Amino acid sequence: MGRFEDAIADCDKAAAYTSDYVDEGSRIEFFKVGQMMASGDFRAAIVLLDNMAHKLNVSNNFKGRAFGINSAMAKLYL
Amino acid sequence: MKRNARLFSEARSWPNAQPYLSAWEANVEEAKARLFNARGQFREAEAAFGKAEVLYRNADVKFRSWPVAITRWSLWTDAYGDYGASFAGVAKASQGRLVEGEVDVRRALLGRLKSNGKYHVDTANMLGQFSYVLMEQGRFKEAVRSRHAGAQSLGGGAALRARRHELGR
Repeated sequence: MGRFEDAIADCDKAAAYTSDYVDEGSRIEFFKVGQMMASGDFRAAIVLLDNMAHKLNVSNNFKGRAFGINSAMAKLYL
Repeated sequence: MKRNARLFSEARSWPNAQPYLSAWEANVEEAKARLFNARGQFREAEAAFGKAEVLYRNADVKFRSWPVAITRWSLWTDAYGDYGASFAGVAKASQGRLVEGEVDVRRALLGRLKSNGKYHVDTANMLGQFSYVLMEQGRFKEAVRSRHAGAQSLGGGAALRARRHELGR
C-alpha cells in the first residue's frame, strides 16, 4: 500500500521485541532495508546494512550473510 | 561486488553451504549485472541478469525442499528471479532487441502479478520497466497506460507520492 514509513516503524517495534539478533533481529532489519530502498532512503539503508555487517561480524562468523548485505549495498551505491 | 565474488570462491568448501550456493552465486551475478548496466555494457548485463535469474529460480526450488527455516527464503528468491528476467529484458531492449526485451519484462510482470497482485511496489516497478520497452518501440499510448497502471498500483501515503510522480513522468 506504499506506507513505507509505517512499515519501517513496525520493523523497529518488531526488532525491539527480539532477543536473538542473528536469527530474528537482523532478518527484520534486512526487511527494513527493503522498505527503505522502496521509499528511496538509500543513504540510511547503506548505514543500516553496514551496522548489520558489523553486528553479525560477517568477516569471521555468519559469512554467508555477507552475500545479501554486499549485494544490497552494491544496488544502493549504484 | 568484488567482496562477494571473492567470498563465493571460498564458500563452496564451507560445511552446510549447499542449500544456499545458488542464492549466493545469484547475488554475485546480480551485482555484476547492475554494474554492467550502469556502465552501459548491456550485452554483459543481459548475460549476468539472465544467469542471476536462472540461479534465483534454482535457489527457489532448492529452498522449498529444505526445512522450514530455509524454505522461508523462497519468498525473496521468487521475486528476485522476476527482477532478473525484467532487467535482462531491459538490457535486451537497450541493445535494440525490443521484442525479445518485451517478452522478458512481460513474463516478469506476470510473475509479480501472480505472486503479489496488482497493488504492490514490485508490480509498479515491473510496470515501469514494461512501459520503457513499449515506449522504445514507439507504442506510446500503451506505454502511458502502463505508467498509469503502475501509479495506480501504488496506494496513498506521502512516501509514495514522489514515487508515483517519478513513475508518471
